[in-house]
Amino acid sequence: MAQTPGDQAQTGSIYSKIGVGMPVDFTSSSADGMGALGVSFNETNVAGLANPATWGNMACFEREGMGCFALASGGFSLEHVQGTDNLGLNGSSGRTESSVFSANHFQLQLPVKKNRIGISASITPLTRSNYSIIGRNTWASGPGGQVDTATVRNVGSGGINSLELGFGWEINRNISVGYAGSLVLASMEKDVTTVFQESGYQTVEYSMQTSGTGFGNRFGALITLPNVLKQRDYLRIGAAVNLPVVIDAKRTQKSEKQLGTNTIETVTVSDGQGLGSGELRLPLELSGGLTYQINPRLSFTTEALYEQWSDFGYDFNSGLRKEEQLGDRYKAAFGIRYFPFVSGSNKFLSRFKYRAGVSYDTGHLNIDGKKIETILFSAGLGVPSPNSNSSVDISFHYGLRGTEAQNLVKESIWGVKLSINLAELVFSQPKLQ
Amino acid sequence: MNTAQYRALASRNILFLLLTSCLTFLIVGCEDPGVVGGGFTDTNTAVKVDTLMVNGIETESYNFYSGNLTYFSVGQFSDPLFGDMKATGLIRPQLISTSSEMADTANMKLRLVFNQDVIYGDSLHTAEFDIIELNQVWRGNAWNLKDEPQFDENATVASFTVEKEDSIEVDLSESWMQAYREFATSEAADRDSTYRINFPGLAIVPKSSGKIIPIDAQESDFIIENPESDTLQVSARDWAYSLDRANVSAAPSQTFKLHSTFEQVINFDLDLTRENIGSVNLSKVELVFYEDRSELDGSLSQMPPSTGRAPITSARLQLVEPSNIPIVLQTGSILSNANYDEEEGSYRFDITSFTNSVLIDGIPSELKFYVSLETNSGIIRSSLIHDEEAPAEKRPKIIVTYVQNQES
Repeated sequence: MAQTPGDQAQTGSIYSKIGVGMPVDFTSSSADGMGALGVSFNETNVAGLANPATWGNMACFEREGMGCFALASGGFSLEHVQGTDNLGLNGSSGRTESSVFSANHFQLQLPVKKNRIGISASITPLTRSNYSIIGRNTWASGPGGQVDTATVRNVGSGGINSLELGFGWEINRNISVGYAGSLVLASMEKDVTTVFQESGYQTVEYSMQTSGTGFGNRFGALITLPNVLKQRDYLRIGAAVNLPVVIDAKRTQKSEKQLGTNTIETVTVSDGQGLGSGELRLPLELSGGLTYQINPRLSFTTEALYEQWSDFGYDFNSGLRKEEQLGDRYKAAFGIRYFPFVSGSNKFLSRFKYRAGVSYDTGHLNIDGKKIETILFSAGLGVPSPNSNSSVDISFHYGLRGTEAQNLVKESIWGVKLSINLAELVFSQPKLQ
Repeated sequence: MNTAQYRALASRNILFLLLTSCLTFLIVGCEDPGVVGGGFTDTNTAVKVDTLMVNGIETESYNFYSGNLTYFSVGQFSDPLFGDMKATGLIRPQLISTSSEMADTANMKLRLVFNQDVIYGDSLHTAEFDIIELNQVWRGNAWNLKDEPQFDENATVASFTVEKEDSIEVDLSESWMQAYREFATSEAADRDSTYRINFPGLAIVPKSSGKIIPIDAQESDFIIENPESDTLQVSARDWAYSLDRANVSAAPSQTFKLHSTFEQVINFDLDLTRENIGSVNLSKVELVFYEDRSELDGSLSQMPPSTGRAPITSARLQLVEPSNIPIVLQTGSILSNANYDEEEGSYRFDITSFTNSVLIDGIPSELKFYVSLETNSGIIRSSLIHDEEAPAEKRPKIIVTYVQNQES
C-alpha cells in the first residue's frame, strides 16, 4: 500500500489535524485587535476572558444614583487560509485556499458587589479542528499482480470547548484576583470516506467520534500601579494560570451500512485499536503581561503565553506521534491601543477605538524537528455606541504559519473577527436627596 | 438623538458595513481545495485484503423434480468423471378443444426444438432416438429425475436422428394418432379428466451413445395436419426426463461434484461476525470456489475434440433452512449469483451486502448455506470443485477487502 504525496488537499488549516486541533487562546475582543491575550488589562465595558482577576473590576458610576454595568460579549470570526508546499508537479508549489466561519466565545459578566466582586459565565472553544485531506491507497488485489486504487477523504471537525463559571475579586485598588472553574467538553469527529476506482467495490464510510468531559481550573491576578511615571498613568501586571485538564473520553467508530434501497443502519464499534475509553490530558498554561497606559487615550501592552504541550496526553493516538509532533508553545505579543473617543471630540475619526499589534507564536507542533511558527499582524477598530456603553469591535489579522521545508505546509492567514459588546446597567441605587 | 449624533451614528454604521462586507467578500470569495501537504498528512487508513478459509463443507444428494422445466434432456453419454448417463424424455400433448377439428385423415407430427449450444457429449455425433408410447400415466409436476418410465420397447411410434439440427419434425404412427383422436373428438363432459388419467404420452428413448441434447419444451409442440382445414399446433401438456447414471466413480481427491440437477449440492456454515471478519468497514466480501479445470479437461482428453460438457455460466448461493431442502433450492431466494470466471476458473459470490446485514442482525442458527450449479432447467450440467483439502490457492475461501484505520 502506498500513499502518493501531492494528491492531498485540505480545507481549514491542515495543522488542525494533529492531536486535538489548534489551540484557541482566552482573549477579549479588545485584545484580538492587538493579537494579544488581554491578561494584563481590561477595557471599560468590554468583557474579557484572559484573566479572571479582571472580572471584579466592573465599571460603576455615580450619576443620579449608583449603577454598575453587566457585560456580554459574543461574535463570530471568519478566517481564510492559503496553504502552499513544494510538492507540486514539475517542482511547482501545491496550493489550496479555504475559509472557516466560526462562532467566537460568548461571555456574560455580572457585578455582584460594587467595585469588589464580579462573576463571569462563558462558553469558549479551547481547541478547534477543521480539515479535509484526500489521499490515495493502492494495494495488490489479485494473484496476478493487479493493483487497485482507492481515494480516501478524511474530514475532521470539532474540538474542545469550555463552559466556565468564575469570579473576580478586587481586593483593593491595586490588587485583584480571580478564579474560574469549568466543565471541559471534548467533541471531535473524523469522517472517512474511501471510494474505490474499480467496480465491484462498495464505498466505505465511517466516522471516528471522540467525546468526553473534564474539569478545569483557572486562576488570575492583576496588580495595578497608578501614577508610575506621571499623573494619570498606570502600570498593570497581570498573570493567569490554567491548570492541566484531564478529560475522560470515549472513542467510537460508527459505520453506515446501506442494506437495501432505503435502509441504512449504523454499526457502532467501541473496542479495538484506538477505540474505547481513554484520557485526553490538556497541558498547563501560563500567561502574563504588562500594560502601561500613558493616558486614557494611549496604552502599550506586551504579553506572553506558555503552554506545556510536551505534557499533552492522548490515549487514542489519532495519528499522533507525540514525541515527534508536539512541543511546548510560547507566544509573545506587543500592541498599542489608541482611544481618541475618550476626548469627546466630534471629529469622525476621533469617535473610534484603534488597536494594532504583532505577535509571534512558536506553536504547539514540532513535526520532525520543525516548529510550526506563526507571526501575526493585527489591527482592530472599536465602534462605541453613541447612546449606550455598548460597542462593536472589529479586528483584522494577517499572518504566516509554517514552512515549506521538510515537505510541510506554509500558510497565509487572513482573518476578521466581529464582536458585539453589550453593557447594561444592572444596579441603580437612587441617590438620596 | 439630535441630527449631528444621528449622522455620526449613520456614518459609523455605514463604515462598519462596508468594511465587513468587503472583507467577507474577499475572504469567502476565494475557495480552492487545492493540493498540499503530502509530507505529513497521512490519511491513517489502509486498504487490507484478508482471506478466510471455508471449512466443514458437506455434500447432499437429492432425487429432484425433472418435469415441466424449461427444457428436458434426451440422449446418452459416458462421462469418465460423472458416469454413464442415459436421459429419457417424456412428453404428452395438450388435448385440443372441442372447437378444433381433427380429421380422420389428419396427420400428426412431433416437432422438437433442440438447444445445440449446450450439448453434453460429442456435438458431431448423430444421435438416434425411438419415440415409444408409454404405458403409465404420469404428471410433469410430479416426475422425479430418477423415476423410471414404463414402456414396451416394441411399441415404437416413430424414430429420428439428430446431428446438428436446431429442430426436427417426426411423423407419429397412425395407431398412436388414432388413440389421441379418440380423446380429441370426444364430446363427453369429462373428456379432459379422462384424457389426463388415461392418455400416457410418449417417451423419447436414446438408441445410441454419444451425446445428450436438451429439448426446448416451450418451443416444441405437436402438429396436426388436417388435409382440408387448418393445421393445428398443439403444445405439450406435460414433459419431463429421467436420468440414469451408472458406473459412477467417486470424486477425485480434494474435490467434490456438483450437478445442476441437484443430484449433488454442497452446504456449509460461514462465520461472518466482526470478530472473524476483522472489520466492519467492508468494501467487498467474496466467497470463492475454484473449479478443478485440469481434472475436468483431462477426463475428456482421450475423446474427439468436439466432445465437451454443457457449459456452466454461473452458480447459486442460498441461505436456507435444511428442513425445506430440496424444494427451496428451486423455489427459494438467491443470496448471490456467481458468474463463472473463465480466466481464473472460479465462482465468486459477492456477499458484501449480506455480510453488512450480518454485522447488524447476525445469521439465524438454523440456516445453512447451499451452493448449486446454474438453475435446474432441465439441462444437465456438472462440475468438479476443489474442496478444503486442496492446495491453499484453490481451497474455498472468503476474501475480505476492507478499510483499516491505522492510527498509531
